[in-house]
Amino acid sequence: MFAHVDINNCYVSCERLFRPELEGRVVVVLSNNDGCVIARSNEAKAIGIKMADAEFIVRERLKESNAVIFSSNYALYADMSARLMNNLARYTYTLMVYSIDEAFMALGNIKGIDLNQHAATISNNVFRDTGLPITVGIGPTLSLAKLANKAAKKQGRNFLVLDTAEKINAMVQTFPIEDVWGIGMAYYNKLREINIQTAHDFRSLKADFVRQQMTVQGWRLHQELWGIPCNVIKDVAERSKGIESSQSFNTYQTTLEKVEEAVAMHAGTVALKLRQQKSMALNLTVYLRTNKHNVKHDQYYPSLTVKIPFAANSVHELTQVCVQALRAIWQPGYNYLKTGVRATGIIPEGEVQNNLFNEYDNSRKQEISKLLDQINDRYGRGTLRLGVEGFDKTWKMKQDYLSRQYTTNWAEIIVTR
Amino acid sequence: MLTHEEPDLDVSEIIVIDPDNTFYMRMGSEAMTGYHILKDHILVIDRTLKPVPGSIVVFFHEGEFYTRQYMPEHSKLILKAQTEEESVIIENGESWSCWGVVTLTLNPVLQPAHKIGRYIRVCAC
Repeated sequence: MFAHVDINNCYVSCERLFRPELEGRVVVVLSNNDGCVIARSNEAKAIGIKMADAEFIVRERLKESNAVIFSSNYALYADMSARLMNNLARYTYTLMVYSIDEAFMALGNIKGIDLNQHAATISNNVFRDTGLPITVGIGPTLSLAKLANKAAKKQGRNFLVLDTAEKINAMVQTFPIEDVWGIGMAYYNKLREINIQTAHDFRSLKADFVRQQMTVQGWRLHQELWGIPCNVIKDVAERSKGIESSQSFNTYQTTLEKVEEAVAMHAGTVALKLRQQKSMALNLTVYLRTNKHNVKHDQYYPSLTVKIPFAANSVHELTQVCVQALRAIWQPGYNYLKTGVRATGIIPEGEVQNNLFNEYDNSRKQEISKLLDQINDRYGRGTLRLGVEGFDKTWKMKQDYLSRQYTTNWAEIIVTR
Repeated sequence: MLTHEEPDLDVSEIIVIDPDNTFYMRMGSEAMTGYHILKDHILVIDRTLKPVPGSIVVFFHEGEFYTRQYMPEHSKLILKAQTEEESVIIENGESWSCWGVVTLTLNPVLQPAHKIGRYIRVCAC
């Protein structure tokens, strides 16, 4: 059995935890540069605010409904996300952090445990302990767990368990195909042509037909909707902890040139890892170490963390930032033994680029991003860019509605009466 | 070079019991001086604990966060400060929720003359 857990309206819930008076009000969180809506409270959904709506288009409507608007405060969201994930890890032996606000948990073959009770416990405890409202969906496959989660939300519940064939059959009967995990715009259109409207309709197709028409991905989904696990749970917990690349030198290094080479290499490795897991970093740390066991040498252990104005995962950008950071902490005259690069504040790639391409369907969007990345990696960042980015060299991010860093900056903690 | 068999004492071991569910706020008033919670103290707040009579709790009430003593009675909940005017009374039927239980506070006693260089970090104030 697997559970899929996510934070309800994640960014809005993070903001509300420290502003409880916003309960019941229209709240939205805007993307980087205050461009588009990337999180909505239920009240915002109710007045028809859509995901990725441009801020200037919904501005009037938000004003009329006395909405509260936030710029994205990723320092806060990343911290709250890490808290959630660490809490979830207490209820499972394998946790797969899927994105900043969702995770899969392996529950094993727990017989004799009331899954409804278990789901309720997780949901209630996590809400009490972290302050974040979550929804728990449980099913025999990842796809069904995710489906159960979505169904729970539609029913206004905080958990739902699909543990028997009867319950699954009843659920898929009316579950719209477009809400099934993995059914993008392209597949949806294709399926609509052959009059597939529900998860049940899709499940009733012949497996061979699905494989032929929708590649192995579609086939896996088909199997999973029948309760046959195909997607495996991978432990990618490093996503919440940060990504690091470091190595000790084989001989002491004393020149900046050599260490720069190493830092550039580590930056490249970190960039690659970020892109493999489709995420981006907001902070980069570069550190240097001398050999603490060699008492004859002077010791120096500098480290510098740099905030990147826009989340990044391209080799070029990460290298540039890391090399600059290295130059800032570099002191000649020491025998350096080790250097490393660590990325933290990790957010999903989609959130940064999503809004720029919302005219396109998903697969097309990813192709364009990838191409853009490849060209920019080869010829330098900014060689090819999107019209909306503009050509202004001052990359100052617009953050007019930024909340405080309640959990990551001592100067910004809440003061009580 | 000495090798240590045991790691050094780390004060967070006895201050932060459940780091994933611990939050920090600062006391901003004199309302709790009778409980030895002075203005500018750092409040260490654990959300996993359920308040019991006598607990110091943080809660949100009419637009602000408060730190008070949790004293439930039959017909009402008293969130006690050292004076009656500063206490908050929640009648039965009114909604109230605990934001977290204060497990301890940090009291900076460093003299201003010492608050230079890295010592400005003491309690971040």
